Amino acid sequence: MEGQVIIVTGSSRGIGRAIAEELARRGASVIINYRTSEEEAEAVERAITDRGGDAYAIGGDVTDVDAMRALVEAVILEYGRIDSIVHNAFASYRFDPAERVRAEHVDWASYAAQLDGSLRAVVQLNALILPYVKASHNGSIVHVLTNLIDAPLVSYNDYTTAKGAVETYSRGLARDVGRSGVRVNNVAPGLVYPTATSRSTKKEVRDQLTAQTPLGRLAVPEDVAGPVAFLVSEEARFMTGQTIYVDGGFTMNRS
Amino acid sequence: MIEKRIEAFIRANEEDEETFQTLMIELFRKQFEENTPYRAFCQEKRKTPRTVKRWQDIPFVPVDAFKHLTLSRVPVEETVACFMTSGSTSGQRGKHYHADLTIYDASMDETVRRFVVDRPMRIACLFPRASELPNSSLAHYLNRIVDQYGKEGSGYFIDSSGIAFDAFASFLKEATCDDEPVLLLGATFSYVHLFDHFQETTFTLPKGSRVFDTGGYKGQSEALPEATFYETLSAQFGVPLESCVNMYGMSELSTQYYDRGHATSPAVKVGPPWIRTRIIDPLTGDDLPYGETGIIVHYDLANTNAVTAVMTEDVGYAHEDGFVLLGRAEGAEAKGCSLQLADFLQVTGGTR
Amino acid sequence: MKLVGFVPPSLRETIGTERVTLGPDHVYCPKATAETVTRVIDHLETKGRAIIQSYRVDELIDRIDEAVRLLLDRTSLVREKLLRDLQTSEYDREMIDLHLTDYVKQFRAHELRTFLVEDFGNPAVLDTWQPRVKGGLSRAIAAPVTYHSWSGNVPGVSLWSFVSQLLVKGPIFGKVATREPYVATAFAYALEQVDAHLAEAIALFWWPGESELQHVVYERVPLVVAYGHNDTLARIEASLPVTTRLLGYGHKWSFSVIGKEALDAYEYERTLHDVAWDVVNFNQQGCYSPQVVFVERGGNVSPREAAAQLFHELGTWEVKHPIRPLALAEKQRVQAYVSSGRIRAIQCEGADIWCAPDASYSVRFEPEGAVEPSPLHRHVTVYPFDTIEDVLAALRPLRAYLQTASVATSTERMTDWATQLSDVGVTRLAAVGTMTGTEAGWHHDGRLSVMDLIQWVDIDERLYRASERLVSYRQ
Repeated sequence: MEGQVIIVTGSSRGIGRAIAEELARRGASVIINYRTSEEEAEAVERAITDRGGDAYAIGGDVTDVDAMRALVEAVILEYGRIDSIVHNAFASYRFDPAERVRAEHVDWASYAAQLDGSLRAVVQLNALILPYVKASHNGSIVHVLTNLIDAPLVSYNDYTTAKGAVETYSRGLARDVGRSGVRVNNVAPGLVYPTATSRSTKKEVRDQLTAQTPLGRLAVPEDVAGPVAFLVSEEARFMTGQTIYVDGGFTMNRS
Repeated sequence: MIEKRIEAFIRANEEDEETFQTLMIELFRKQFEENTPYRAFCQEKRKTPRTVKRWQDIPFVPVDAFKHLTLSRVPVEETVACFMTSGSTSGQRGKHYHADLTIYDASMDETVRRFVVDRPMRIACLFPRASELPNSSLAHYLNRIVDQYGKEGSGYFIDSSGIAFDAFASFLKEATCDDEPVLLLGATFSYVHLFDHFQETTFTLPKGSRVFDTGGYKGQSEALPEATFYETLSAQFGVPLESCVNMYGMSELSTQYYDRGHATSPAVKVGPPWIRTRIIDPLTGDDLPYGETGIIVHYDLANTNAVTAVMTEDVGYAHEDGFVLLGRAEGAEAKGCSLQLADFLQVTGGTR
Repeated sequence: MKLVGFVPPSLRETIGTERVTLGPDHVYCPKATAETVTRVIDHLETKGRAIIQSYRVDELIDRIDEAVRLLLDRTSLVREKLLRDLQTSEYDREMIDLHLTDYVKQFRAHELRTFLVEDFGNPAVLDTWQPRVKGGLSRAIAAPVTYHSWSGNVPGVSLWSFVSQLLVKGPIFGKVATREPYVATAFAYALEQVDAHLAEAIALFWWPGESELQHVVYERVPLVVAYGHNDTLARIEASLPVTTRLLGYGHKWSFSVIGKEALDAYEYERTLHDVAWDVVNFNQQGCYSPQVVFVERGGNVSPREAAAQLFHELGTWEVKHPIRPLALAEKQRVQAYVSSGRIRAIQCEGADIWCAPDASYSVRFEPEGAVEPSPLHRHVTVYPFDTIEDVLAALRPLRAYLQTASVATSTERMTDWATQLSDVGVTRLAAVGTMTGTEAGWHHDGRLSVMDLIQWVDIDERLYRASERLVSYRQ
């Protein structure tokens, strides 16, 4: 992916950072998007450029369409192109099995907030970048979802419903933009530990998960980076509308 | 100011790849930032100062761009010169705007001294004065040589009515009498007119005389093959082939190439340290393997106001000392039965 | 060893072969001198003619059909050898394989009968005197020898006139195209395999374009069928004696017109996929290949979106049928076209260009500005239009060169557009995706095909009546 310009939303830390670093290692110029963690984002940028790669940190809240418009303009001004995007940022959510709201009690406002934070953010940003991605030789869109959409070991229904909506959206989009040469795929990781959001997951829950995972451990951020990079690369050039589960085999038999 | 540093680099006239590289990239950044059409052109090719790290990566414009786009860092009203390409079949002329001519003149001073003339001489110029052709870079170039090196007895032997054959013949005879070496400056087609006029009448110019021709800026005179032209030139004026020098230039550039006389054929075009040439595949923009024939692209540091990288319509191949110019690409005839461009244009009266 | 050309079997021993270079290939072809050419023409005019005239038309149709089946049969040696010979062509093997089958299918017995009936009404006129509605009798006779000069590199173009010539029972002296001499050759040998007797009426030679030998032929034949550049045709015409007729097929310009119905959210993908195929097949080098695409505004998919989509469709075809590298001059022409597109995109707000990274295909979008030709090799411009009048205005100066227009719209509008387009000079209206596949009995460049190869002879009704009075059994 030498010379390709790839935006990774929410890449100042955790999974996003790992994805950004992997893409940069493969030769892409990576846009490190962050919401508030400016220092961390710049640290990622530095780490990449120190290793001889190219990265550019640009702030912006993915749920704010004006901020995203400004981000896209800044990228075009600097690089003249956008080849791919990895949607990793999502509206914040606290995964707490004990304190969560059980599914039948989750109110519409919570669903709406998550849909707004996940689906709407993705819809808006994709609309902004699609003209550029279409012009790319190997343009693709990747959404980072969650394996909970298939197997909710714990039900965080507002969060999971919104992510499920993104998956369905991604397939319809894949169908229509496929003829324009753009691929749309998803990666669904299981619990990734440690990250900012998973830090509060209790050891007992983590142990329970591990026991049911064929590969005997939980994912680390780098585990997710590889499959994302694969989907973005030329190697996946004939794949679209797919969701790859990266959870050590916890989920199997997906159609 | 970058122009000052470029001027200094030119006057130093030494091979220095690193400085050349640095200056080219800096100049590219300025042209990208200050010239909107060029910026749009670069962006469409997805090349920006961020991704262009070497002069070879600087996006080149085709010569046609000078016809259709305004390529000037400074507003056109503030430029001091506009050198235009000669009217071609399309009728549209390319425009190269110069913010000032300091660098243009510095460039030609250095190369003329090295390749054409380095001491005062009696000069005959077979090209109109710059005052008559204000948009001709060649007129400016030749006039400057006459001004700088022309000894008493020098003159211009062309005007609106054509070549002053008799006056020119007198000039040559006098020089022979005085045993004073001369420098003849002219466009290739002018010499062809001289051949037609003088026919069997030859001259024997004094030792040290030089004949300079330039190929009309877009390919040689079609009447004569190159070797024949120079043999005739040498015979007509009694000047050895090594002293027949050709200059290759174009209005879209600010720097010229020269060959080292035509004792060997084909003549290799050589340039100074502030211009480079690549031979490329016109579709991929990649360098061709050394020695293979391809399209010639020039990178001229002296093109400070317009664009440094220009793709020509000329075909040639790389050589150790420079490049060999072959002319235009041989026309590809139609392979199928689909109407070809030339016929189409003929029918529609269209232009290119 | 590649064999090109064909000598009537009975002359083979006395006419040798010589080795020549055709493009990238070294081939053996019949020794071409004034002497051999004259001898061959003598033979065709006499023995060849007598033989071919002794067949009835439907017998000839059966022979041709058998030879054609050899070319269609994927296991036949004839076909295998032909495909091998065509390997050095610029078109990829799969494209040729597909095309050969589609194209050669047109020359099966049923199709042949169709175009004979189409043109003659009663093909028996080729065999003997047939009564006319007006009275009297008529017969159709081919020239003693007809010269066919083929050119271009689209495989098989030669078969059209080759088969037509045989159908009218006229011996043929063909000069094969430098860039594609193999299909005609293969067909000749296939015919010989089916019926060596019939092969006496066929001769195929090759010589370079400027050769003096063509003049030897011009002096001897009353009819010349020639394909090529208009300048070439003009030169041929100038060289012909006044008694020799020229049937010339010059270079043509074709295009597509896409109506908004074909660009609704359901149809657009298929429409553009098909338009792309028309562009890709034979890299736009056929006279029937589209050089530009006119797209109507007001559909669900805008002309600009259609152009972008067309670009990607070209990309998908490219994976299946990659294009071979072009010669430097062709590359330069493509480059000039692409650069022009880039400059236009900067100068003009609505103009745009999509170009593959190595410029192996491109689409330009030109909302204003005059129609410009394509450099071919899969580069095409999309011009949006509001009414068909916009399209006609652009086409009028090109009248002499117009050939095929593919049209994608409803039946009512299609017939209306067809009327207007034909008034402007178009001679064939085709469906998108089929521009490069002509149908049996096609009026190439708007002229009757087989009819052009014959002369009518009439027996006056009054002569018939008069001779009836002199029969031995009159009462």
